[in-house]
Amino acid sequence: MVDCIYEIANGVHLNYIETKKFKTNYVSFNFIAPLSEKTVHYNALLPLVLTRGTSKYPTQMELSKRLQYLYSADVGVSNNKYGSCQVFGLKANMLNNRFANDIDINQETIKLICDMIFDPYLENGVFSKAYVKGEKQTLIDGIEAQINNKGSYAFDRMISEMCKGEAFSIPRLGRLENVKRITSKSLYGAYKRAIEQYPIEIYVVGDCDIETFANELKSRFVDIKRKPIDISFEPIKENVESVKQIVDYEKVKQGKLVLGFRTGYNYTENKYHLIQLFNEIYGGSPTSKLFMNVREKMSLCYTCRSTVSQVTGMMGVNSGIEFDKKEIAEKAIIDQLEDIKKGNITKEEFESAKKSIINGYKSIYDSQSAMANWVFYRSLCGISTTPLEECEKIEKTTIAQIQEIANRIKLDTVYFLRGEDSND
Amino acid sequence: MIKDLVVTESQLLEEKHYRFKHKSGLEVYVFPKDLTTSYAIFATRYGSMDNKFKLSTDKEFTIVPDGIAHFLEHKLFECEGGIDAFELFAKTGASANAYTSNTMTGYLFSATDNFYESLEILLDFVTHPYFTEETVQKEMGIIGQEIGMYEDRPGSRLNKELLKALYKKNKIRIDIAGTCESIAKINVDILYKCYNTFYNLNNMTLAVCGDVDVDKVNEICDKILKVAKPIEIIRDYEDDDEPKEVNKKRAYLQMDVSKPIFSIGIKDTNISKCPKERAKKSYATEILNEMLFSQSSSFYNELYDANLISIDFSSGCELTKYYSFNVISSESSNPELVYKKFVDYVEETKKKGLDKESFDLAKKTIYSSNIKSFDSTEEIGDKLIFNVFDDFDILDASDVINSITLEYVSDILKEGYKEEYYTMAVVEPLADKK
Repeated sequence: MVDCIYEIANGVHLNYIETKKFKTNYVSFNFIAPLSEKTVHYNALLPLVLTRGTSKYPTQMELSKRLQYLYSADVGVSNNKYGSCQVFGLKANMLNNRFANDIDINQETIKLICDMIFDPYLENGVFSKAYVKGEKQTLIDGIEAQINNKGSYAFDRMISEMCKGEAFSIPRLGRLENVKRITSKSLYGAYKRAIEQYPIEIYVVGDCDIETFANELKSRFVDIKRKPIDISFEPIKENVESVKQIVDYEKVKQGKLVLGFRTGYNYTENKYHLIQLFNEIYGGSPTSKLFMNVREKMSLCYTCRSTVSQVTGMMGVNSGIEFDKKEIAEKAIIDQLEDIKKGNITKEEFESAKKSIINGYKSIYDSQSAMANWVFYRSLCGISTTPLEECEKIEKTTIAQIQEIANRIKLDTVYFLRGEDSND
Repeated sequence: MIKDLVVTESQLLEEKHYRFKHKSGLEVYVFPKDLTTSYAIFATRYGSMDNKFKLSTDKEFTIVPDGIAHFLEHKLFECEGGIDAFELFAKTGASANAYTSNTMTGYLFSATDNFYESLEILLDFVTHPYFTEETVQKEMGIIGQEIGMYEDRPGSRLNKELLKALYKKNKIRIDIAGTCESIAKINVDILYKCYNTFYNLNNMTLAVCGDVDVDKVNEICDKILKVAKPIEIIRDYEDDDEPKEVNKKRAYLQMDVSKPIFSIGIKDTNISKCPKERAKKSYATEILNEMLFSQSSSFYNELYDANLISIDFSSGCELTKYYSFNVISSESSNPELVYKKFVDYVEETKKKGLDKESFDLAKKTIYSSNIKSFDSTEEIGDKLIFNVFDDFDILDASDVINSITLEYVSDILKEGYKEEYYTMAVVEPLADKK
């Protein structure tokens, strides 16, 4: 998919996916760090502070006006967990030059984003105290607001219980007490570490003068002494000693039941298409076993779906149910898995699931960010196939292979978020 | 050959679409787009607001339970013989869905292969209802859980409360999914009554976007659709005496949230009958929002620095022929103070006047975001149908945006921003957690 790769500096690459289909150009800057209690909160905070001001446009107001002037490039921050790694940085979507006759939108926007990363607004050689204080508050508000969305809160709680002791249990935004201790100086130290030591992958998807961008980037690294660290994933846990049952009580009207499974899948096998196909049949679509049985036949819930992770090999099943339906829903969800383990997959189910996955893979070519993310995240697992190549693998899969995958799956944790009283 | 095929083009956007009236009575739009995914949405002018209606040939109005349009959307997926429409789409690989809003119900799919087969399925299942008392009963359990899910979402509760504070009569007050009590009154007869009224093809539109051939779409319409008898639907929105002022000044609600969340609503009852004029006002209000409340505004920066609003601070306007309001919302430790500052800021800006530089920048932003919205078949299809139902063509948007002047935006500020038009809804943390 990637048309060319430029080595910008030691451990820094610019990846260009050329396409003329879109009216915009997409850029993402991805810093790759080990997910660690010591650094997660710094890395979560950094993008927020970097987008507050540059030495040329020191305030948010000036920076925003400059972005508006450049036909409103949408600049966003990113911060994701990917297995035992943390990926954070900036991304932007800008209008293609052909829609403006007064300025070179692409080059000017790219310069501005480079300024945010390499020439941030500083006071006495460190980040502005006011900006750090303000963005710390933003991060704290974000951590505290996780309780607002009960569905995702329940899912995160399941992960933290299931993966106790594993890096993946570390929360993406860091912990409150650690965020509070960050200072302008310590954050600047974290910034230096990011610029000098973390691998950096930059993606551009669209139609622009990539040579000029590569040169712009190279010039920014001239004075930076790069000593990139090696990034590797923690080994994936496959065994389950005993199933954990966790119940939390909160003020909710609907119970949120989340089941966590270990699939025994390891990304080094390079067989992700199998686990995705399994998931599609089990609970990934409106014709999946979970949807058709737990929702449609048993009328237990509105939501009941499963998701799998390529990098951790974990599977989660989410559902929203009445408080007194927990046992029956849990059993129904497990029964559907047992069914697949026995090989009870009809030809129709199997062909439908294949088509649905292929449909999803092919549509990746219609989104610039999806294309960039496809290549980037797979490259972290050492996988370099394109969506079309994965489609071919899906075509060749057999029911027996899916049954085999299902038989490796083990229930690890059952988490239930419920209210005190009955809800009818 | 299609009779009376209308082609509309926008040079600036490098886009065009075809429109024709199929002989069945259905209005069809085809928007060619060279992407991998093609999208189709088949929609009826029927939403949660349509609970009192009759045909021009009827004597009496029919009044139906709240939430029935949404209930009907769920039930249409069930086909004769107990098959689910999702199963049919599964055979083609298309990804299907549906949604109900205040004024429309849409059935849709996106597909990278087998587009025309999927289109047949879409047109077929929506035009073939099949309800039994037993399946209607079963659906109540599922929708009950859907209502429960939204009840646990602060953003959705806040929005409901805001609409009730803004409006006294307007049927936008009705919850789209209804309530467990209201949907309990639904039965097969009422479902068919609503279906036969609103799913008449003359009340519907099909919009497709992608690498699609207009003649083939016409052929599939020929194959699947039967000619529908033209009808005239009379809807009673019972909002003749909707006051200009808001219904109430405040709405409070307690939920398990970390910090209060507020929405300030600005009510606008001055809705033009001319679709282009409505579109112009809608884009002008977006420009005004960008000037007054975006990250480049003094308001945002002052309040953000004082930790009175959060990074999720946002503004947005909704303007259709049925209702019009503007909303600003955020998390805040002190919503009342934000409200006061909002009122003062607007008054001060009115006195000082809007400045040309920030107008030009804001207009550039809206110009750009309009162009950006033409990169996805799904986004184009949804936007197209939403605007068609408001009698506006999205290919005219760039010209409309270009025609907006600083004076025009200043007039909206002067006339539309008065205290009696403002209200605020707040979701507060639970008393024992404050």
